[in-house]
Amino acid sequence: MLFKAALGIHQSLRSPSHSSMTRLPISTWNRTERMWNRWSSLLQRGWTKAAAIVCERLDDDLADLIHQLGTLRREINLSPPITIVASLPSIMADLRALHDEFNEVSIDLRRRMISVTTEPIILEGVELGPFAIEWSWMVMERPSHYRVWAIEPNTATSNESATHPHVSSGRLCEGEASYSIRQALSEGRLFDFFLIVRQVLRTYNASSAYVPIDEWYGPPCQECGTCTGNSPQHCGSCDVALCDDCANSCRECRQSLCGSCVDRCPNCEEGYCASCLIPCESCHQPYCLECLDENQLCPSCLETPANPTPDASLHPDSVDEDPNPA
Amino acid sequence: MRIYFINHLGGGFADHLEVAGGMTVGQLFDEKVGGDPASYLIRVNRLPTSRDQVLHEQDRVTVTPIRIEGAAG
Repeated sequence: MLFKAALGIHQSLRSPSHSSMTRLPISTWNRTERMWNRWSSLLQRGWTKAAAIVCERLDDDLADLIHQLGTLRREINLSPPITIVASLPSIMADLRALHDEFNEVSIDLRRRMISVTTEPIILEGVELGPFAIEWSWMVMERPSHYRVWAIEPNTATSNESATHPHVSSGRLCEGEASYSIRQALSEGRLFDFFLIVRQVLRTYNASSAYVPIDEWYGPPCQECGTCTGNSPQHCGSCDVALCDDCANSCRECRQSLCGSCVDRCPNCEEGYCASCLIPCESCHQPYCLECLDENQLCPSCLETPANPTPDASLHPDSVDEDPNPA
Repeated sequence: MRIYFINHLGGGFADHLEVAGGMTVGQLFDEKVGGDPASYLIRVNRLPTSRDQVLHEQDRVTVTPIRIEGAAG
């Protein structure tokens, strides 16, 4: 089986349709154009729900196209790629060496596919499980076409497509490995290809992840930093994530509030959002509705009126009058 | 002697090199890559190796960074 696979790969590498030169992503463009036309047609008919589903696929195709064009642009600015194609013995040696490097290696001659399984990947304490890396020599016009998928998925709480910070919907975002991967596949250096992809899976890049690893199980609570799980509360004022223990609640409208956004009625000291506190008509300090009287006066202003009625005996016009008439 | 050297760091490098007879893996690494060898997977003919392993004619040496950062999108 090893020899048949190596022979098939070698023949594909040397076929006229394969070239070590990267080519324009024509097939990706065509696929994107077909999806675009389908989406436009659905919108014109007013079939918005169907259009929304197609729109998601169109988004994936556009992302793929942008990615391939970006890679092509980087590659044309590098020195010309070496056009050495691996020999049949070299390919055979690669396939044998994969068994020593990976937990499981399988070759599917019918689908012309090689698949390897990594060890369980753990990034910063988050167990993502083992990953399968699948590459097919059937699609040699797209030598960089391969798939990475989680065998025991532990997807991010906020994004079910993300099985790894750098894997979404079966596609690895290669980052700085992009050129090396393409060169390895173009030259038929399969051992190198699988090794490089595995090292990308073992590496966490905090500056560019589909979901940051510290938010894998939900965003951290802004107050205490613990994981909020898959249904975090959010402050109704500033939108930060909150755990159930740290979230305050407006006594009037019941919306969640963080510690910085909750206001207290000066009288009853209950928590309210800014919108549910009403300014006293006299002192203009914000109070809850229950603590204001029907004239919208706070308890303090009711006790000490702002303009008390002056004493009649002290009135200037009554100075010469008998203050105590008989 | 002639060896095949593949470096997966950055933009990558893959080519035949003429090196002095008796050169070791460690000497080749220091000359062509540099830095801390513990940060790399170094393979000779696809097998793990040690710094003091002497290279032979037509050996295939690959150097792959342990940390290769992916991205998102």
